[in-house]
Amino acid sequence: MLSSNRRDFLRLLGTAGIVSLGAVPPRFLVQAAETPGIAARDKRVLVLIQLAGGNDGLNTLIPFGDPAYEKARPGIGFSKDQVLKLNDHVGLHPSLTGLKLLYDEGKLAVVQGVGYPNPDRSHFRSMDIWQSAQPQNENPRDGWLGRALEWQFERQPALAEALSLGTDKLPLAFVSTRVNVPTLRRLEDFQLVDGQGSATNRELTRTTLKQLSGQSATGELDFLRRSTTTALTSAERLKSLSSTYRTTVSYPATGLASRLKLIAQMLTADLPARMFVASLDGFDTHSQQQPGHAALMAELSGAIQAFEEDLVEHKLSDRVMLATYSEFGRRVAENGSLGTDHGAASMLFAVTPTGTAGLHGTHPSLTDLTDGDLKYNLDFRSVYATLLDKWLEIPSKAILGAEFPTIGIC
Amino acid sequence: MELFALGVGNYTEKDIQEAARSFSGWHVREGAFWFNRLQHDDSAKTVFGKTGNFDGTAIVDLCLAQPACPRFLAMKLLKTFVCPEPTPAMIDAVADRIHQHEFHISPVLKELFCSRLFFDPAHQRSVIKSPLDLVVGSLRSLAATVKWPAIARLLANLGQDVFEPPSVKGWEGGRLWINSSSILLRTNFATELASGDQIATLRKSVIDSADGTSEAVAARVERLLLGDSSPPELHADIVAHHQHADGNALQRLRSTLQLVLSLPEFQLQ
Repeated sequence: MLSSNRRDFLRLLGTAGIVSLGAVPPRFLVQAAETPGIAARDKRVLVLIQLAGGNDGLNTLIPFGDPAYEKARPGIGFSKDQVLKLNDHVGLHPSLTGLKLLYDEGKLAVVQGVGYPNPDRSHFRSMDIWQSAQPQNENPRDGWLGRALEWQFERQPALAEALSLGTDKLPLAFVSTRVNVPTLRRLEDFQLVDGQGSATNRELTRTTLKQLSGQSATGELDFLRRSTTTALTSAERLKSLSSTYRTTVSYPATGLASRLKLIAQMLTADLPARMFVASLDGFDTHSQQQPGHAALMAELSGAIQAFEEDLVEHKLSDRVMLATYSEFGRRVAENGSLGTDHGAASMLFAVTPTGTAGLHGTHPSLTDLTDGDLKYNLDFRSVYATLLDKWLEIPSKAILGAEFPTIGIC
Repeated sequence: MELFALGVGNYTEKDIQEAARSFSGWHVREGAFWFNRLQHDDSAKTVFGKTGNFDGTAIVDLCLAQPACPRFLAMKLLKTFVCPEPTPAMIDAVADRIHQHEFHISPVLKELFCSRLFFDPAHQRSVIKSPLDLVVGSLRSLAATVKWPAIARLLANLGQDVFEPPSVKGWEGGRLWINSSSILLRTNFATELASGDQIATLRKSVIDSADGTSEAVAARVERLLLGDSSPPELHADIVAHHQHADGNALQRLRSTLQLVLSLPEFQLQ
């Protein structure tokens, strides 16, 4: 049976005449029509939240019981009365109330001590390493999800769809030589303005533009035509979504919440995109860290909480795995400006429908350090291998170039 | 050396260090160049395998004398004006002219713009327009009065905040100008310029060209926006678009302008 959303969507396809386009298939739209029978397990969705700037893991998952923590963080540390305790040793930042609820409901996994060998403290280099999953490659050309999309495209093109939200440019994680992933910086950027012409002329111009862009070509013209087709069809689809989607969940009025809400809308309409990256910026907290970091923690927690409630309401939560990542943690000791500088190993969150909730791995020692930084005890590629092998069912060895042991988050 | 003269791979880290010593003592004081002899390193330096007591000017000469230099500049000129992936033969040809003209760029460009290479049909519309090329080019073709603050904001949204490049390297350009958001912004710019007055008004000569058959109006718009080499296969679609548009002659012209300004072909030069 077609859901009503899917039916609306197919109607949109019909009126827009997209099915009859020429050589370049606007796959994003067409394949929802072509492959109504994709098994539920194939509709699994991965949502990654990029915490850009280097999130302070030690003030996110706080080892309040450790005297070394109090000593290293006299100005910006949290006491055991302030944290949201997970056990007798660690607790969440006081602003992570939504994530604490998910933890208590058995949905939140917290992975400790994640990092990679020979950590680099440059934002750019370290983000490149996280996104390419190729620490040895000085000049990575593609990203781990981009390679996963290529693998998928060769086998089931209908499932090789992804979207990046809230980033200026396509994150390296999604870069691929063959699969074109749209970027959505702000929702308002992603709408065609109507202008002052008549509705008839507007429709006529859009239809003609789509027809002409749908023809195949070579070189830069081909690239521009494909990009135009992707952009126009994505904009149309997003416009139709806002008229069909309803929710009783009230999302916070934050950027991340609006991005996650948009993802929920797209999933509700049963569209085939299955990988999303949403970015939350501002974690480079070198000075006066506490108020800014607390606001970011609240934005993260509130957005994820609302998103998960919305997924439950739309009976989608079984299909969606969410995880966070950041280019590095911060140094153990606070600096002289009540902030923290670039560090190494850190932690990440996962909201999992299938895996084991709770704490994973062991918290890195605060006294056994490398050059003042935490030592990692879990390679980040183990997290990726887990998401690929156990969630997306894409063989991780082909994507990561080596075998990494999986963990229990899914 | 990396960004403006030679390109990566044509110098060593040691060359950079030795060259830096040669520039020691160079300052800007009260807005003007000032050489502080006391801070200059007067000992011998070895750059590109040559040893001497070089100063900064000598390093510039040494860079220009590297065979990689005219080729690097030729590559930049070709990518900007001819095609996104110049062949080694093309690069050698232009590099040779740069060498002949002793690095005077103006005569090199004059030759380039009159060359077969430049007019080769294979290179017509093969370079993706930068936001500046697209927006200012369109305004020059069509606009009477322009609201420049709105244009400056638009350029920034399109990825080219003028006089504020993302790094000393400038803008990467080419395909990096294009993503889904920028395509929609480019399309919206076409809509606004053709149908509205929020960013600019149309010139009288453009408005006066609204009368005539669909065939004639389409031909005028193509010539105005796509030039002499307007792709002939587009013509029938543009004529049909004008025929099917509703409203008076000016409204139909505006609709046709909007279409052509939005075309992937128009994003190329």
